[in-house]
Amino acid sequence: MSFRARLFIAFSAAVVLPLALLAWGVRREVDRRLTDQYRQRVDGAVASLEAELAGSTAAVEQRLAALADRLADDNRFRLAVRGGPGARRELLDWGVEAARLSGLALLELQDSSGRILASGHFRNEYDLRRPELPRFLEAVGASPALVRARMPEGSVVALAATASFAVAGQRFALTGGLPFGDDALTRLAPDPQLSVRLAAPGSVSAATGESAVGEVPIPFLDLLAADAAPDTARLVVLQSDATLAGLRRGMNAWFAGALAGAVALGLGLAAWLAARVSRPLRELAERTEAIDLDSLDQDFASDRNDEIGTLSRLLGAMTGRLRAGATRLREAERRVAMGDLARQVNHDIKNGLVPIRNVLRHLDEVAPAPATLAEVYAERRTTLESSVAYLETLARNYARLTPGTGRERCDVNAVVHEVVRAVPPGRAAVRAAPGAGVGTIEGDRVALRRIVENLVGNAVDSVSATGGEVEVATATGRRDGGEPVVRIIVADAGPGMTRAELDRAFDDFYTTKEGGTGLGLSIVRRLVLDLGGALRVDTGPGEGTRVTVELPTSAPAETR
Amino acid sequence: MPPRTISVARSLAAGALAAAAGPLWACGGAAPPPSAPVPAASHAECVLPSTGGAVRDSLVAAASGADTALLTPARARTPIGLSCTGRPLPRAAAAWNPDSTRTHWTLVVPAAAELARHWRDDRDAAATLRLAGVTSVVPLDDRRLVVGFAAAVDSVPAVFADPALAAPREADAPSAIRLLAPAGGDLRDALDRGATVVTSDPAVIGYAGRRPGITPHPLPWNRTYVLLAPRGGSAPLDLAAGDSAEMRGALARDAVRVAARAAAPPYWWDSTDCARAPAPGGSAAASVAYPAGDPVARALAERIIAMSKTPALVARGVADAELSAAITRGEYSAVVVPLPRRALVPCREIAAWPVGAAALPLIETRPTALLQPGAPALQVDYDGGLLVGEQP
Repeated sequence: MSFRARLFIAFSAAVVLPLALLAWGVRREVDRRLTDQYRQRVDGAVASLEAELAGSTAAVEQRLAALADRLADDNRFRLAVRGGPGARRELLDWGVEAARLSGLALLELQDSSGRILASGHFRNEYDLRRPELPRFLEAVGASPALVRARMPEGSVVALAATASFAVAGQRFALTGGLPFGDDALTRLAPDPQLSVRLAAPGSVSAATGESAVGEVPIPFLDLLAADAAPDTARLVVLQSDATLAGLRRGMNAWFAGALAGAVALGLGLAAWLAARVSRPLRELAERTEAIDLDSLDQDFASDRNDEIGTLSRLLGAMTGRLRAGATRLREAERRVAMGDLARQVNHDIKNGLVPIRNVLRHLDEVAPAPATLAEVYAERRTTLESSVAYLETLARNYARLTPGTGRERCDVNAVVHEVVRAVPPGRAAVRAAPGAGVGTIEGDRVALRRIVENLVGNAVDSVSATGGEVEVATATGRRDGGEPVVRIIVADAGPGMTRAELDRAFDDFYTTKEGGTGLGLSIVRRLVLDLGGALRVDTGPGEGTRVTVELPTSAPAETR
Repeated sequence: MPPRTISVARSLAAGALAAAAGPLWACGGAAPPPSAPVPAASHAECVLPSTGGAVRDSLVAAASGADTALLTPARARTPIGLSCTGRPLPRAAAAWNPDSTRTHWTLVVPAAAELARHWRDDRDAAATLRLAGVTSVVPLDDRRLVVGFAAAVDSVPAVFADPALAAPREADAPSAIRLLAPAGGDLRDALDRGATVVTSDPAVIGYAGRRPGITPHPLPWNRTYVLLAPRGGSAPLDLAAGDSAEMRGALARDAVRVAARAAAPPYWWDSTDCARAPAPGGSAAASVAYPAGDPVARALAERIIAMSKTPALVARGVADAELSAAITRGEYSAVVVPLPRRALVPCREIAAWPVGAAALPLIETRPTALLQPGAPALQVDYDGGLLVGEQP
């Protein structure tokens, strides 16, 4: 993760988290206050409801008291209750007119046995006995109570009260009530967002989409029920869930919008800050990345007084030191390269001169016998010519100062034979074992000969003291089972190498031989790599050394 | 006008005319020659005498539709009238007489052909005649109309007194009665305007009793209220068990606020053999229905509900126009229906009753005529209907 990304995340967290915390806290607080406000309204509604019920009940009681007073003074009523002729109908009609004039939805006049003498809400209910009604209301006392009574075309629920009076030595109960239907319930709801519903005993308080937020129990008598037993109904204050949900939705939407805006602003600010802080570092990194031994002229000058300015100036100073060191290093390298080149030239020339010197020694040996001189010369002339040709090629290569190799078809077995023949007799027994079917490779013939010469030379050197044999074999095969290769195996029965010696065997100038240059195997490795081949050494102390060179060939090969 | 003998040829020609008019008018064929019509004797047994003073314009008023029908001027144009005692009175028809089989009755009426055409074209008249068993109506000449019945009729057929058979009124004919539409429905205003009022409203009657000079005259018992259970059975609910003269008397005394008495047999619907509507299917609402504008029927329905042991039973006011269909379909458990105490066309009155319907008579009511000073003499019909009559 980039430094800028880390900065962005850090800034984002620093901006967004407090904002989110603030939003959450404010939302919770607003929600709590909203709920509290609702609670207060509901409590107020319940209190208002109770006050309204008490007031309405008192109003019913006042009207009943007035009607009772009027009846007590009414001579027709006195005559009617005494059974006067023709008074019955007047008594029946009195109930209807009294209910109409007093605005009572429920009005019943009963004698002490509960027999209905007159009914305002159901005129023709007369003569029925219903003592449970005044009994229920007397038991309730001054508290509000609801009565559901039968009417000709249905029923009525009324907030009821009762009053008793005596006429002509008889006691009567006058029961009345104000209508308690939907209109009354609507009037009872002091808040348009709240509603009041009458829940009869055993019914559910609230319907779907509503919440019951307050309840007022109220004694209830259902005269339509079979047993007409006193029960308790509930006046349920309902709040539409939709209203509060709508308020909360609106509040949440605003908070979400504000939070999203703040977060977007915070993220933008964080991105800007991260970019501003990381830009000098990025520029410094880009200049540092461009530093190379060939490109040490980067400008790290800075006029900043902060840590970045200090770092930039330190990098500038470091670059200056690197420039000076690189100059010295190049000089040292040049000198080393020149020495290496000289040693390599020396080594290569020695390799070319050794066969010539051997031929000359041979000729010196046979010179006392002139008759064989010509024969020996003729026999060794090819050695001389190939050595001279090798030296000439070597000279051309160095003249060009190009280490690259030429591309020509080279007969591997021929080169092996050529090198083996060039080994002076007497130093070691060198035997060529050319493999059948070994063809040619595409490469530089001189490079191939130098590879074989160096390997054979090393092998001969390793066995010269012990008189062991050196075998140079060739074979065909496939590298890792795929590409066709020619294998050149140079094996000797010398002392072999330790692991440490093997690890350094291909280093330049590493040698264990008296007077050796330490470049032979190093040159072999480079030449093999130039030809696209591979090199493997199998050796161990006292086990001799077996070097296998694999060179790619275009000719189809058979594994051997 | 003396009766005339009608020739056979003219009778045949009249029969051909009736055949062209439709089945009812064709089925009579040639009417048998009538015997000499006997003019009805005029009598004064059912006449309310003039209240004295200068006879004023005959302003009359009634609030309910049923009471208004008692005052309709069409009563003066029916072929005959029926007095409060049921005696036939000449109205449009000056005389009438049956043939020997008593299946054909000849009416002596002015413009007999026009009356026959009116009966044929007017839907109510045609239906009334059909339900009364009339098979033919044949005008013999300009003054004689022969009406054939499916069965012999001993006395002059009462259907001739039905207002549905009233002759069409001539445009310029003066009306002896001017019917007032009471302003705001309060008949006391009509009383204050000097109108003679026919009403059952106790408040109006009470008001009239406190006004000097207004003479109340109870009219004949003209209406019977019946609790009808369209689906039969013991339906008039649990009240059926308590059916008694005492219960009916209590209903008449306490439940209604009009002049009422317990219904008493015989009831004309018990002796009719009319075609009935098919028995209703489905189920009935637990309601006692009543004609929405009839306070007596409503009070009776309410009292029946009050006495019922079924808490779910309610009273239901139904518009007059829908009540007959509701009875035929058996939509309600029971219906309180007012019936004429004497039915001129019984099958018309109970045409809506389905097969198996059970009727429980409850009470009978009658209106009261409140006569103003200077009111003319009024003839009182069998049903309490009034029309300007002769001074006895």
